[in-house]
Amino acid sequence: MFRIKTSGLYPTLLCVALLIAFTTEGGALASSLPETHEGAYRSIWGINSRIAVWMIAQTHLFFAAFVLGVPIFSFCIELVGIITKDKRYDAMAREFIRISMTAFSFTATFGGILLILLVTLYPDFTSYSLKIFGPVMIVYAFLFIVESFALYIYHYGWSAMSDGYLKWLHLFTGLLLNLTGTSIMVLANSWASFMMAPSGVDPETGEFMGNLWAVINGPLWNPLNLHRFVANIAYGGAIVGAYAGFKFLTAKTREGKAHYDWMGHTANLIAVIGLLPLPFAGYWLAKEIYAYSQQMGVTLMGGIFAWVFIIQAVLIGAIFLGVNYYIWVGLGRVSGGEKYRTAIKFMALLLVACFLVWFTPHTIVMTGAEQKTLGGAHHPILGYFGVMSAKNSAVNIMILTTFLSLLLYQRVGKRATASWALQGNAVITALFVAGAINVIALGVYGYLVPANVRIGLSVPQVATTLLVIVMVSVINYGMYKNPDKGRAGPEWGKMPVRSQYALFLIAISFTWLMGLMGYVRSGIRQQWHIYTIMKDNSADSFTPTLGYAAKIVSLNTLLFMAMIVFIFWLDNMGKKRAS
Amino acid sequence: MKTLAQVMLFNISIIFAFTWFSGSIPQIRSAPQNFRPISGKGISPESYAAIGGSIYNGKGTCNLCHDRVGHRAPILLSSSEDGPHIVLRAVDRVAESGYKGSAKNGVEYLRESMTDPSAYVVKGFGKVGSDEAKSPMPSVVYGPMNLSPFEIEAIIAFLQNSAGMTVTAKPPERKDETAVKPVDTGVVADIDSIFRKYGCTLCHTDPVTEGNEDVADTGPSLTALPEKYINGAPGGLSLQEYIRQSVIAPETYIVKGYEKGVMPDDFADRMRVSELEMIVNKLGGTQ
Repeated sequence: MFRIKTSGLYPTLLCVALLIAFTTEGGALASSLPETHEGAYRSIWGINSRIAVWMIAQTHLFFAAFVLGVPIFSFCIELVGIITKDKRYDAMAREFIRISMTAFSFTATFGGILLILLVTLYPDFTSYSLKIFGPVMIVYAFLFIVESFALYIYHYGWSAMSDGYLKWLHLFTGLLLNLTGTSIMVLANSWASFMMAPSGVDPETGEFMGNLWAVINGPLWNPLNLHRFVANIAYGGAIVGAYAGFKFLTAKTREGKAHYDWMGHTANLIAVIGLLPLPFAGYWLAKEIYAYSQQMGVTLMGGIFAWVFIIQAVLIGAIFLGVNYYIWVGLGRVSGGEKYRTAIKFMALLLVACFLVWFTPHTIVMTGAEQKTLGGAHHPILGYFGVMSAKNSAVNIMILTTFLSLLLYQRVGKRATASWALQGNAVITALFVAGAINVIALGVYGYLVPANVRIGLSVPQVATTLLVIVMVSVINYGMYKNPDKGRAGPEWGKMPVRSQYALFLIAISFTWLMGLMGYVRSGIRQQWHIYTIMKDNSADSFTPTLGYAAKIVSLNTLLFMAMIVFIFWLDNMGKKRAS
Repeated sequence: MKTLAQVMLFNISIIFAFTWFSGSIPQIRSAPQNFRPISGKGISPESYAAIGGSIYNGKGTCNLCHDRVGHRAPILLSSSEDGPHIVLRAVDRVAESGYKGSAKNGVEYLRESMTDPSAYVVKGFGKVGSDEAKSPMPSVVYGPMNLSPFEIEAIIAFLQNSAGMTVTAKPPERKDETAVKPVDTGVVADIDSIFRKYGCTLCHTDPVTEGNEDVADTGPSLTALPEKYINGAPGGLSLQEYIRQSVIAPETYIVKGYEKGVMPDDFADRMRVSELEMIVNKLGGTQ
């Protein structure tokens, strides 16, 4: 009952907020910007309004990403279970949904708190936004109710709908859950993208022009949708992986360890599947930001936020290293995995080298004397690694290396039975080598051409990486369609304790990264609530330093992690009671 | 419980490491756009050019694209592969047969380039896909820059000054200014907010923005005043009295090397007593 009541809170609050918006200032939908006046910004108990909204919004997004990502792969795993008739998949899909149930309530609760804070602390901004997006918010609230129904049926009806056509009906409920969840996300994205790149309103007065679709379908809406959709899958996988890691460490029985090892492996796999295309989705979003406003793009990549991408390199580097490390240790589960040890050493070196290139800043803060010693603003050798040509190449090589790790894991303990296996291996090797050479060659070429051409080179680099991944996957699938499983399968549970810490590293780094990029996405609006339309006239209209933002992000991550531990503890308690 | 503690310790260590790293790299904080309460009356050409320089590198964000590093837009402040200094180039440009804009002289061309950048698109710098017909540069009078006529003319003054030419650009009448005045919420929590509210950091380096190379130096630095005036402030005043006088009657004493008539003289009307005292205490080292 608690969950149902809490989930209902959000749409109720939304409706109340809409009522307030429409009953003030004439209630006209076609509203222009409110006049700035005293009281446009409020403060409660001396708490900084921006920090309050920032933290609550980010916590809401952490939970929202988790509860939107988990049902996607839960649905896919249930489908795999139905097709393969392997009950283990069904049980795992159910466990994924079960651990995300309480998180749904938290998502709704923090959404409700966010709405209250916006209405209270930023009344003018909220009033204007509600008037523009009023009809969208009504649909949003309706979808929220449908999603809640689908979720409860999907979760509580799992046992009752486990056979025959009812199982397919259950799967359909999962599909409905995902459709409504994703629709909710894209609607909410339209508000965020409107704040960054407003459309459908008069650029000078902010007056709504009458076409709501033009407001929703802004220049950054779809890139943001894709980026968040993919990231949610990766993030859901990372959090569930951390859950499985903790359960593995605390499991008392061999069966328990085996189950959670399998779960951790699957979750990590899901995180990798989401992680590999994520940089490409990020490129698209950044490209569209540049196309919308060159100034915003330069602020993002070359202005005050440029250093964020060095931190981002550290975080994504940690995720890549964690993911690969976990896969490499996982090779020990299967007899025959030891033959890849030498290859792994080289792959580890390659990853670290790429990470260091990505991590190298273009310029560093120096005194005049230091600059004189160095012979300029850039280091004579390391300076070359500071530009996008080097960094794009490094990221693409890291993605290819991670894909190679997955390929090796998939092959271990099996022997290809296709008659053309030898030629297939030769083609796969050639594809990897040619792909890597092309990526590096394009990177080197980037140093010889102007900046606007150089930026465009990231597209063929990305295309090369994607092409290698797709072609190798197809050839490998043909080679191992009916493999000779000469050796025994994975010995689930045979993983060292240290491997589970890699799962925690991935989850923490993902969460922190999301918080950091949230700060950047909002921050590039600089002194605007709605870019170029509604100015931030509050005392907080400055962009805080990275160090300051990092402290807020860390606090947010700690709070989120504490709540996640609480949720897992509740789940454990519920399970104990049930058994 | 032991496992939980170990896992939490590991997680907190990672979070701490990320926080430490983020705090160890260069810290830049962007100042908000401020209403510029400077009157054009009596301002010297050099001071006006200096204000233009701070706008060029600050609020106008011109240096983001017009620089050698990214070279996203033509280089303006020196001779380069794009041509001579922009002030000289502007004169040549209006005389070109292919020029279709409405400017009649170099200064008008500079103004037009800022207010209507697509009036003339420099070859090689057009928006991708527009066939050099459209400039990727936004008009400075709208959107994020939102420069007033006062600020646009100041940039022209800065460009003329940087070319070593006579500064002919003059501040327009005050009524032409369109910059938005920030809302006085009546709540000023700290000294930092006061500096932002009254735009002090547009001209002065203060203890908060010290080290940020983007800040203007149109006015004297406000850092380390107690050390600077350890033997007493000008006019035989105590440091606190001197700061108070400098805010409410800035023309009484002009620091050597700085211009008269730059600092607004109406803070006594606009500033709250509590705000003035907060500034005095902070800068005077009595807080």
